[in-house]
Order: sequence, then C-alpha cells, then structure tokens
Amino acid sequence: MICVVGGHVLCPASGVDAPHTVVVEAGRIAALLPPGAPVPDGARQVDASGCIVTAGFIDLHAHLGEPGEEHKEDLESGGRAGLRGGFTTLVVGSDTRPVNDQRAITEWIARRAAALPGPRVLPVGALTLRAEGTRLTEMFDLRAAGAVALGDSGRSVADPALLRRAMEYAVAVGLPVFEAPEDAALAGHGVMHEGQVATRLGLAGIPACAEEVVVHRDLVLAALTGARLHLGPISTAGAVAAVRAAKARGLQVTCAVAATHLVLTDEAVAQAYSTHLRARPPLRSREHVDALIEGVADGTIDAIASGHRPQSAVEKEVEFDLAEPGMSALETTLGACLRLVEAGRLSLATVVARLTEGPSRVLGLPQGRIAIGALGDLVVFEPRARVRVEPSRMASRGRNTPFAGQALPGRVCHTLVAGELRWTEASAEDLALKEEKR
Amino acid sequence: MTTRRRHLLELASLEAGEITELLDVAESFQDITHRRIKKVPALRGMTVVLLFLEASTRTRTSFELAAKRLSADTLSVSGGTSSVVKGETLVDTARNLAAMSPDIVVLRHRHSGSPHLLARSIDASIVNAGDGGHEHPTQGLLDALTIRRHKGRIEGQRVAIIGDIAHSRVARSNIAALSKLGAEVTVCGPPTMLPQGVEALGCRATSDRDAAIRGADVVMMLRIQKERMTEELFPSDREYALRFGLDRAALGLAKPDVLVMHPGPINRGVELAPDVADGPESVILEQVANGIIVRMAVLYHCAGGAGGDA
Repeated sequence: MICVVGGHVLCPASGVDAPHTVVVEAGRIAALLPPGAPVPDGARQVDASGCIVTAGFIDLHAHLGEPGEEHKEDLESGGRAGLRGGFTTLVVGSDTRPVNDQRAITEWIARRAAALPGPRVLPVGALTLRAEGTRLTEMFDLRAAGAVALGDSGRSVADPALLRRAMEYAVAVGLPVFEAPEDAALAGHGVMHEGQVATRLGLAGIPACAEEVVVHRDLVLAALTGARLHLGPISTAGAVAAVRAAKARGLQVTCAVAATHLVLTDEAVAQAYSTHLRARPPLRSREHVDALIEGVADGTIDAIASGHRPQSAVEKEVEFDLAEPGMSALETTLGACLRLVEAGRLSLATVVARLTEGPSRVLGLPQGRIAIGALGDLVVFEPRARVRVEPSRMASRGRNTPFAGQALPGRVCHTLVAGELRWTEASAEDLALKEEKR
Repeated sequence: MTTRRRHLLELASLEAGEITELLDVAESFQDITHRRIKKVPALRGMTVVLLFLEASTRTRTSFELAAKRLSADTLSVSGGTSSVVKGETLVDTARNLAAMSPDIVVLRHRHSGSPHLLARSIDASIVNAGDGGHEHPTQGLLDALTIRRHKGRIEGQRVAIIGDIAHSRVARSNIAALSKLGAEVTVCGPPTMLPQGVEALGCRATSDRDAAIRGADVVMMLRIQKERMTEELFPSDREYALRFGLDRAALGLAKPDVLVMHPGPINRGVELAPDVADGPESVILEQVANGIIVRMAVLYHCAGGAGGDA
C-alpha cells in the first residue's frame, strides 16, 4: 500500500481539484482521504507536499527506437525518460525497424516492455505492410497481439483508395486509424516550415498545405467509412480549423499536438541552423502556433503528446538538410506545457486534461483518471520548481533537445505505475550523491 | 577551447558600416592588381584552405588568387578529391583539416547553413563561398563594389534582380548588402521562383519584368538553372526568355546609364540576349575582376585586419 500525502489532487476527468491523500493498493486507487487523515498502518508514504497529484500522463506519439534503432533509444532508456517526464503510458509508433506490421513484432514489443519497470507501453500497429502504403496489414492479428491503434507512424497513406479500404477494414477491427498528415509531394525536399524564415535561411520549405491537404482528404474518407480517425501530431492552423469543423459535424475524429510545437516557432531554426530544431512536422510560424494553443484550449486538440523521437549525434551533427528530424522530448514535455500555463495561455487543468483524459479517450483506455477503483498510475509534480535541462543528465539516449541549458518549470517528483513507485526524484539525488562519493 | 575568430558567414547579419568597411579595404587593394609584382605580405605564413565541396571554377580560382596575392599558403580540397565522397561527414573532414591548423577555411557547399556548422565545430575563421540557397557573401560584396565604382554610391540606386530568387544565394546576399546600403531593390521572377515572404529580406517583389526594369539603375540577371524545369518551376526556356529574359527592348525601359550585371556563368539566349551580354551596359567581366580584391579584403579582415583581434 502506498499513500501519496500532502498534495493537491487535480483530475479534470473526475472533477477533483482539492487536497487529498491518495491511497493506492493492489495496483489501483483504493481511497481518497481528506488531507491530514491518519495514514493507514503499514502504508509507505510518498511526500507530495507543495505538489500537484494527477493521473499519470499518456503519450500518444512516442518513438522509442526498439527494435532496430537502439543506438537512438530503446524501450528501457525511453521508458525511464517517460517516467522522469511523468508519463505512465507510452503509445509507441509502428516505425520501428522492421516496421511493426505483424503480430510477432507487436507481441515482442509488448512482452519486452512488460518485463521492464517502466511505463505501460502500447504499440501502434502499421496500417500497411512495411509502411509502404501498398498492401494492408493483418489488422485483427495486430489487435490480438496488443496493438491499440493502426497507422504508418510518422507518415500518412499516400494512396487515397488504399486508405479508404484500410479505414473500412479498421472499422471492423475496432481500432482507430492514426495518420501523421503530410503529403509527400507537397512536402518535397523541404526541411523546415515554408515561410519568411526558410526564405531568409535558404532552406527548402514544407508548406502548411502539405499537412492541410491530407487532413481534409482524411476527414472526407473518415466520414465516408465511419472510421475513428486520429490525426497527429498536427502543426497547422488549417488542420485545427478542419478538425474543429469536423467535430462540430459529429465526426469521430481526434487529434494531437507535440508540446514542442506549442512553445517554439520556426524562428528558433534561425539560431545558427541548429539541427535540434529539425522536427517532423516542422516547427511552424507564430500564427500556426497560436492556432494550436487555441485548439488545445477549446478542446479541438484532444491530446498533447511528446512527439519524442530521439536521434543520436550521427543523425544530428551534420548539415541541416541532412539531419534526421526529431528530438528527445519526454523529459521536457511537462516543462513546455507549464511554460504556457505560466504565460497565461492555458490553464493547468487544461494541460493536465490533454495529458491524461484526452489521450485516454482517443484510445478508449481505462487510465487517465483519479477515482476509486481506477488504475494506480499517478504523477506528483512541483509546478513552480525550475529544472535546468542538461542533455548529459537526461535518461533518454537521445541528447538532442532544443531546451538544452534552459530552465523549464515543473519538477516531476514521483511517478507511480500500477501502484508501484517507479521513479522518484529523491532516488535520483541519492544516486548522484553515491556517484560523487565514488 | 576556440579563440574568438572572425568569420564571414552571411551579409544579412552585418551592419551597413561593416559592409562599407570591407568595400573600402577592397578599394585599397585595387592598385596592387596593377603592379608588376601583384603581391603584398599581409597574410604571409598563414594557411588558407579552400574547401570546395560543390563544383566551382570561378569562385575557387578567385579566392585562390586573392589568398596568393596576400602571400598566404593555400590548400585546395575539392568535392572529388576529398574523403566526403567516401562517406566522411563535413564535420569530420573539417576536423581533419583543422588538425593541420589552418587560419582560414573557405567553404563552398550545397547545403545552406554549412558554414555555420563549421564555425561551431572547428577553430578557424570560416568564409562562406556559397552555401546552398542561402548566401554567397563575397558575390554580394563584389556586386556592391561594382555598383559603387560606377555610380559613386549605392544609396538611392534602383536595382532589379531578375531570375530564380527562391533558389539563389546570390540574390539573398545582394538583397542584404544593397538594401542595407540604401538601394531600392526589386526582385522579379515567375511566382514559382519568388519565395514566400521575400519582401521581409528588404526588397519589393513582382512578376512583371518590365515594371521591375522601368527606371532601373542596375539590372542584375540570375543564371537560370535548366534542371529547375524538371521541378515545373517554368514551362520552357523559350517562354522564360520571352517573359523574364533581358533583351534590348526590355533594357530600353531602364535608365540610359543602366548597368547590366550577371554572376555568371551566362546562359546566352535564355536570361540574357547575346547583344545585351556583350553590350556597352554590361559590367560582367568587371564583376570578375572586382571579385579578387573583394576576396582579398575578406581574407584580410578574417586574418585580423588592421588592429584585429585574431
């Protein structure tokens, strides 16, 4: 039994916003006690004074590199990064090597992750074989193996006829279709957002329309087929507007944005062409970022994801054109979100909702809420603390972050998964001390 | 680890005064080129590496001559002979060169921002000799110098730059230099060749060639790369020449004392009619000559210049 004592519980899903002691037993939340209530005998106490206690965060768009790209990240290092960032559930992309397009790979990922003391790992199965966009995968099999969604992660299906068939089939399978909307032809050789900054830097642009064209096409096909469509990560004002209108029409569509895309614009790339700023989708200009924040605020955007896609120095210490897109983001997602809270752009409750119940609803998961009988997945964080981002001290194997050297708000103190304390800040300090003594 | 170095990465981040100073230094080197012994000892004992990873004859030879006239030792590494073809990264190539302690590395590369990457990777002054579609600063300087020598000043000059602005590093460096020095710059090309937000660089933009040329003091034509036709940026050479090329009739709209410029190499009959290329308004060969003294000025500046800190 673990008692989380002294914190302020915030759960938009169940409407709790008050100090409580949270009692977790046998992997589930057993009780919410009034503050100051005596702690049951034999319970381990977790100190949450001065902290916010919420359901563990759920990341719909994480890429952990395993199998196939272990030099960038693996399930163990990525899992640790997740816990440090407050994530208790990571939905991992199908763009592994080989692509997660068959039962054996999905099972392998699920089994390996289950043996690690990290967050829950839920795989996305590919929609098409090898993510080539030509033939459908065995979707029923993928679901049976544990896939929670179907999509060629990091890309969209180019052939609209095939996507239509895939959506129709996915309806019977009962899983949502994940599309990362980008038209390959319109994106061309682009490496950053098309606009004034790309023009100044002489870099090829990825126009906003590359995303918007696919969003509109996919919404039409979702309406036709009745598929549950999830678009993400999105990056443009046009995508937000299209999803808002589609939701108003009653379409079953959801979308997600990466936290980085809410706090950084394409102007950041102008800092000496730093390849850490090369992302996919690209960091957009101010008006797009403002539209994304508005979409998060009004619920058009269901989830804030990490978009965690770590790269090694091999992929980043090169010319901007040649760098792989992606950054290590699990450990900075909460900080990025809290920056928006401090700036008055989003409320803390909204941020927490988009990190918990929002992504939970996208997939129809049981987690993402604090209530008696709910899963014992919790995060305890100190919202006003400042943490300096030091790449060398990150848990992620990818050291590429645009926030290096910056102080981000929010310190994750404890992360509980299935009622077990799997990360605590104190243990990290102890470890650091031990290492120093050595 | 690295000492403070003077680089020339781009003109966009220079002040007008810094650009003028470089032009003045270039002028001061002019008389050397008329001497029988065209050499001064300013860079004696210094090593200049010419790292040209993209094919270039005129810019490389111009830099080489500039370095030699300043008595520097030069080392030429080109795309074909470097280990880059064996899969070595730019940073590794540069670190290997840096281990030989060069003072200045002059880089030509097809990727925008590569001089910036080099500047933060190795301890040497970096001179950008053209990076992708970003900048070609010494071209911008030599064009500014050419205009100043003919017109006496740059302020108030009306300059039309016509061609594929979107992919042109020459255009970006010229817009930066000329607008900072007070010229009125208009860029012109089909909309497919005008990049988004180009006005923010400090110019006007139009797809009407005649409007761009009317009343111009300088018309600068950019080389049209025929490989762009496969990207469907324009339908044919023929139509391009008719609507965006510079022929005698179109040139008649400019001021009578107009200068015709081109960074070379020319596609005769496409962007420039042959009689215009060879006409009395053309200063194309002077641009080449000015290139040497401008590059001498840049190398001299990077090496520390007068009272420099390097």
